Amino acid sequence: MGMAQTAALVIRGPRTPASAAIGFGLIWVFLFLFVLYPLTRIFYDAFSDEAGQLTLANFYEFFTDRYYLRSLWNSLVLGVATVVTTSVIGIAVAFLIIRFEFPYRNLFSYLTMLPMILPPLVGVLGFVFILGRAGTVNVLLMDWFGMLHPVNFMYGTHGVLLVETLHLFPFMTLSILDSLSKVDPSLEEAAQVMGANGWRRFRDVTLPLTTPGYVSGALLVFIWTFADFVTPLVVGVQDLLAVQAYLNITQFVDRRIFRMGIVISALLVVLAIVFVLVARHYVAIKDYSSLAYSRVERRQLGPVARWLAVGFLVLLLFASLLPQAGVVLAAVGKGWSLTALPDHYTLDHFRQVSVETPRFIVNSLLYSGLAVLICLVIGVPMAWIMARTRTPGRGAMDALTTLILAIPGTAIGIAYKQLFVAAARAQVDGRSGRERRRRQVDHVQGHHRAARVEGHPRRRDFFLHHVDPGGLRHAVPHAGRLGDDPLRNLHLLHRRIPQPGGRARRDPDRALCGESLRGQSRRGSARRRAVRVR
Amino acid sequence: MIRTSKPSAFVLTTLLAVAAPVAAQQIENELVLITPVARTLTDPALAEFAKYAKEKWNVNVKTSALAAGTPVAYGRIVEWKGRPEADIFWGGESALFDKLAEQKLLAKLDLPKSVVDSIPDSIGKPKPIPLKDPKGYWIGTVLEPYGLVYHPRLYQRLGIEPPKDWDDLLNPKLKGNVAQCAPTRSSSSHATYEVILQRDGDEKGWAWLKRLGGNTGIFTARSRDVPAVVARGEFAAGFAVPSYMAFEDRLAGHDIKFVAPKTAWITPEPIGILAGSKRPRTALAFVEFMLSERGQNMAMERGVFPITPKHRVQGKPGSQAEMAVEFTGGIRSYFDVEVTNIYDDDKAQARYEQVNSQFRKEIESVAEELKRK
Repeated sequence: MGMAQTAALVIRGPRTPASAAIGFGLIWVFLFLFVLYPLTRIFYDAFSDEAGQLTLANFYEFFTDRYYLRSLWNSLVLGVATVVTTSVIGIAVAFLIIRFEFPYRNLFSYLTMLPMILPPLVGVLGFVFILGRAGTVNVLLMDWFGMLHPVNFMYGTHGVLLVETLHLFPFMTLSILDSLSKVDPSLEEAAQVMGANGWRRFRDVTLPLTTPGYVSGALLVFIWTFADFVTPLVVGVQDLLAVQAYLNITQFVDRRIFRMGIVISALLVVLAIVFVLVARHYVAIKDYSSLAYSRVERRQLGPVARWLAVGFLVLLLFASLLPQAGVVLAAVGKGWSLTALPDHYTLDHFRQVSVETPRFIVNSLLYSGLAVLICLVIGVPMAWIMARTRTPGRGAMDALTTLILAIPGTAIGIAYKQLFVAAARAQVDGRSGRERRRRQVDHVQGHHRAARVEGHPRRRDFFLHHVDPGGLRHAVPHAGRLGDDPLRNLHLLHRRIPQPGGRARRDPDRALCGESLRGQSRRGSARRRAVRVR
Repeated sequence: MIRTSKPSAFVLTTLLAVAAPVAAQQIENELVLITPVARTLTDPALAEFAKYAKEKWNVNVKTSALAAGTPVAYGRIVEWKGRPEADIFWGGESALFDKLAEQKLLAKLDLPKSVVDSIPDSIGKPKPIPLKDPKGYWIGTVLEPYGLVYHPRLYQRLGIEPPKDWDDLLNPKLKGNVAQCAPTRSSSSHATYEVILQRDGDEKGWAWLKRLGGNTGIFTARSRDVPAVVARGEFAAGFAVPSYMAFEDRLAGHDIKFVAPKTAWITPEPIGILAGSKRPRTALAFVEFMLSERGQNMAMERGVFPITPKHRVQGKPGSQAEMAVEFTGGIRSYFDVEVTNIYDDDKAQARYEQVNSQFRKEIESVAEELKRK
């Protein structure tokens, strides 16, 4: 409490009230531009038709379309299934590491975190190289046992489940680890004294005590899986909600399908918010006494059990990390197909990306660097305001930054584009100099990209804050998922979305936002906002 | 993608002769394309053009390409309203170029008569594919079939003969082994869906496409992924693949073959200069370059075919051009062979969305049921 008061004093403090107020204002401008605007935009588009009239027809179409409903159902089932599988593995690993002593325990505690920090797209490709229809495992099976058809490990929802499980279980492990190490041993001792042993004690006492950590981990795993479209696309699964949003938005050809993509994005946002609220409510209704970190005695495992534990962890790590070997092989293999290992090796691919097209690497570094910068400039003061002050409006600030976690990147990109590109255009209209125009658009593009990435560390922060204080303490902020969108797509988003065949066309931008007579004033205010960004 | 080439003296003389009219003026030092053609073709084209411009005018042309699917590119050009952010529109259906010309969004191509005359008016029967605009607003650059790809070793393993026509993809032994991209997301797929529908009529056509859906193991996210998954051996055959996209995977060392069935649609990849372009001389120089010996040779090494009867895909034994000939089934020029075309672009454009929604309803949303049949 004392700290909060001190912090509040600083905000109201006599030293720099003006600059603090300006900083506070600037943060709000930022939130308005990059969070509030896209959110309202997505919902407006979801609830309006091509003429800009408000309507429920889009949602009617969604809820009467069998395919969309199936996608919704499949997404929910997949999310729950992933939570179940990651729970089983995650909890087992966490308990082994924190409660038992066995060979290489420390090493395993680090290694089991590895799958989490490896890039997701690379992960799923690696799985395909090893477990795909022409992957190493199938080739060996076919060669050794004369099987005619490959075993389908990957293509289908089960493949998505496999990849998500092996990628996400460390999040669960981390959450449980943190909660477990805070469980007061005296509670367990008390349980033991009262005759609850082994499994019973674990089920009735220990496990419930880890609930806050568990719920934060489960929520993260669920939303991650729910919003992921890259993994399903690689293994050919399209009847999932996030995949449908992405595919519908990026096809650009059919305006009706495009709008349904926006509608699905809006649904993703709503559902994500619901999940977050439910999780918070669930944690809130349970009473958790103040828990402090405490030293836990580790039990020595018996000779058989200890090697079983090692065997389990080795197997788990093997399964999670083997695909990465597939990626390495594919990177140095030339024309690798239908053989267990590549027949020919080359370093040419590395030469290509580093010498011929270095801009991909340069851009990646540039944009992530910019993102880090924006995170520092915006995110740090924001976190400080929310955690250490009682500034009015911080609750709303908190809610907004939480919401952005749930919005699919593609939908955000579209909304940004409509605002900023239109604004840049409006501004240069009437002025000459296309160089200037291009610079502005580029500038704004940079903003989108950076701003989009900005959400991620905040995601972690959110889970830290709301569900389990201290929960994912060790989580590595992970750029890339939760409805995230390859930057290349954002580039694509700047293209038009016309009707095919060149029938009577409207300006798609305006059609999309229902901009007609109100166009002028909207453009005007858009311009003012854009000016402030610059 | 940088490509090395050693143009012969003959090539140089020809291109000097061809380019003589523009040589008098200095060209501008920038060029921007807006194009649905994949980078695997546009990058080498722009790189080779930049070299050519340096040699000829001693100008360092800064080149770039805005990648955009055909309808998207068209929409942007319309929206630019004659103040384009690019100089050249390259690729897509010629019907769209006609529409742009009607709206006065294309500039007339001021090409030497000899260049224009070297390209025939059309190719193929019974529906001729126009190769240039009689009014002179666009002109074809290369011939590029949308065919099918297959993995020879996988075919061998499955014990089936290499495919020759679309119908071979319906072989029950290929169940779950075909890759395609949805026509809602790929113009090559859409055109080939139309080929089947116009070949068989709507009713039989859709029945055929549903059977293909039943054999399909994956609908890829992008058309470029179709040859990629076949090249890796994940799937045995791929539907509706532009020849040069498949050839890229061959160049990468993969075991993949391409077949253009008799009724495969061939696009002339039209090119036009946008009205109001700030760099008209460089734009025209690029069009001329593409139609020159050097430009055509460059394209032929990437797996497409010459637009003029006087050029053929030819190179030294073991050269990339010869590899392309072998890859595309031994054809050196589409003017050597009888070209059958049944694809009617006007018809396709008129019912574009209808075909998409029917695909969604009858194939995409019931893919699992189709597979079980």
